[in-house]
This record gives sequence, structure tokens and C-alpha cells, in this order.
Amino acid sequence: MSEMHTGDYVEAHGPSFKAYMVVFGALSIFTVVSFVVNDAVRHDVLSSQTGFLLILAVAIVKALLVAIYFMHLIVDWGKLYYFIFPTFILGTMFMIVLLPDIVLTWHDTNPNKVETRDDGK
Amino acid sequence: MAHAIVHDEPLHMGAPVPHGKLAMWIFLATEIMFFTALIGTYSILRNGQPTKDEPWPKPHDVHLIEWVGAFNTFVLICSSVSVVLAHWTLCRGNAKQAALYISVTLALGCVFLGVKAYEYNSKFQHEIIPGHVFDRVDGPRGVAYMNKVKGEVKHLLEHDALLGSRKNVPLCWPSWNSRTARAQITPVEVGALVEGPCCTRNRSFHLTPIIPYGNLWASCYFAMTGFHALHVFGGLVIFTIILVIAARGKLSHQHESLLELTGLYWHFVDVVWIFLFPFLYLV
Repeated sequence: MSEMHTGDYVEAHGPSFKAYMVVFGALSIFTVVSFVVNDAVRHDVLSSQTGFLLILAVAIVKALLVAIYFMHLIVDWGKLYYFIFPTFILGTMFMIVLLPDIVLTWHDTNPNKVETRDDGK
Repeated sequence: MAHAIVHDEPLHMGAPVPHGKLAMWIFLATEIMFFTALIGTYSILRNGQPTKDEPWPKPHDVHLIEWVGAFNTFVLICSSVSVVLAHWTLCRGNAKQAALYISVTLALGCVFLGVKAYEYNSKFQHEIIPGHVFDRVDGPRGVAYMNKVKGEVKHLLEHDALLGSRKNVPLCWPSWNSRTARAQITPVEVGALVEGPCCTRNRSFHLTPIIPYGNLWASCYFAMTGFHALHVFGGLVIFTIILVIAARGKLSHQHESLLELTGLYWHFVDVVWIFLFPFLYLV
């Protein structure tokens, strides 16, 4: 009986105290990592693209840790995936549909771009 | 025989989660789209137009200090832990301990807003607010910028003891190269162009710099951090209400759901900041 109650309790109330502390430590370390990576980019140890990807990856891992453990998705994911998943798909698509505009601007190497804008004014 | 005792949940229509939790997650889904729109807009503004000659402002150009942002990130992470522990202890019947953890969360939230207020004050002091940043030296804004810098140099000449002998130096406005006119110009370079010998003598002068895209940056910064700070404030109001319940000695098992839902909201606020911090302060 007692085992069953304990199982029910974890099911209802999420991870253990130890798990919370481990996640807290991981989040703190990841914050320091993103700070160090940023410093490495500033001192030209890492390229800005590599630094951006690393910092973005760290941010995504941190967000996942908070969502999975603190927001109890480790328990509730099976009950809530059907609308959390589409939300993330739509959110990701929203960012992706903006990319062409950014990338086309990067490829716009027209040397008269600045003059045209100033003349237009 | 213990395994034979099974508590089947009663069957009902709808999702297999409490209505309150379902409602909170639906609300958070709308919030995800809201902040995605803000961050997406920021991303396209930041990467769409700026060039090498006219770059997007770096954190130091707009008086953003990375470690202050990192500190605030740590503060929010600590507050997330404290609120999750408050729920954890309340579920085990320890209402007093839960109230203590909620107090810690409330204090950490106040610290976050305090640091944010300090940063906003710095922005206002340096006039890094939408519509007030000088982001170009041509056109009407260029004239306004010229007058401002002239006034600043004149003030320095009149009040700086080192420059006492150079009072009433006529200031002249240099002829700007149209191609570099909107490029990043440091305060010292501006000073050198406006009144060369005077300003190069003392590099501690603080003259208003040109910050390309400074107004766009300020709009993005205040929109994203402002809405986030409003969410933090909303969370603090709920925590205060829970503390009032605790102070009346009524915090008990029946408030587990309230604390869990408030925690969900608070963790979401933490997740938003986890993305705002690198986008605004780091990369």
C-alpha cells in the first residue's frame, strides 16, 4: 500500500527535492557557461556565429530543464502534449517564416544601397 | 495483495488534467505566441537592416552591463527553485515552510524588479529611450545632434579646470562624409571632429554618441523587458495574496492547486527571461 501511495504522490506532485536541487545547479552552471562563451566571443576566441549557436543552445537547454522539471512536464507531458506541441510548432514556424527576409537582406550586396537610401531622403 | 487495490480515476469528458491546470497551460500557450512575436520582431529588426558600417548597438553602446543581466537571470532561477519548493513543502503539509519559500520568492522578484529599475534609470539618464537617441547626423536630427554636442563641449570648456585657458573657443561643425555619416562614432571621435585639439587632450569627456539604430534598439528593449517586468509584477501580486492567506493561518492543502498554477506562471516568466537575457545582453 505504502509503495502505491508513494508512487501516486510522485505522479501527482512531480520530481523529488534532490532533482530540483540538481536542476538548480545545472541552471546556474549553464548561466555561467553562456556568460563565458559571450566573453570568449568578445575576445575573439570564438567566432560570433559559433558563440551565438552555443548561447542559443544553452538557453534552449535551460528552458527545457525548467519546463520538464519545474513545470512538471515530466509528469504532465502525456496529458498536455496535444496542445503544447502545436504551440511550439507554430512558434518555431513563426520564427522560420521571418528568416527569408533576414537572409535576403544579408545577400543584398548592392553597393548603391546606402546612397539610394540617403538620396531617397 | 496490496497491488490489487487500484484507485481508478472517475471517467469524465475532456482532458485528463484538472481544469485549472488546463486553463493555465492554454493561457501560457497564448503567452508563448505573444513573446515569440516580440522576439521574432526583434530578431528581424536586428538582423534585417544593420550593416558593418552601421551595426546594431552592442550592449556597451547602450549602457547594458552583461553581469547585471546575468545576476538577474540567477535571481529568477533562484525564485523558480523557491516557488517549486514552496509547492513541494505544501504538498507535504508544511504550510509554514511553504509560506517561508513564498516570501523568498517574493523578495527575489522584488530584487529582479529593483535591478530592472536601476537599468531603466540608467537608460533614462543617458536618454537611451525611443525617439531620443541620436542615430544619424544628417537631416533635422543631425542639426539637433550638432547643437547638443556643441552645448556639451561648451559646458566642458566653461566648467572643466583643465580647459580653463581655452574658454570661448569657436566651435565648428565638420563636413561629414555622407557614406560614413551614420556609422558608429564614439564620443571621443565626435569630440575630435567638433573641437579637435580640445577633446583629444582629455579622453574622459563624455559626449553624446551617435548610436545607429539606437531608437529601434530602445523600442525593442523597453517593449520586451517592459512586458516581461509586467508579468513579474503580476506574479508578485499573486504571491502577496498567497502570503496574506498564510498570514491568516489559512494556507493548507486546499491551496496546493493555486500554488502549483502560480508556480507554472512564474516558471514561464523565468523561461522568457532565459531567452531575453542572451538576445539582449549577450549575442
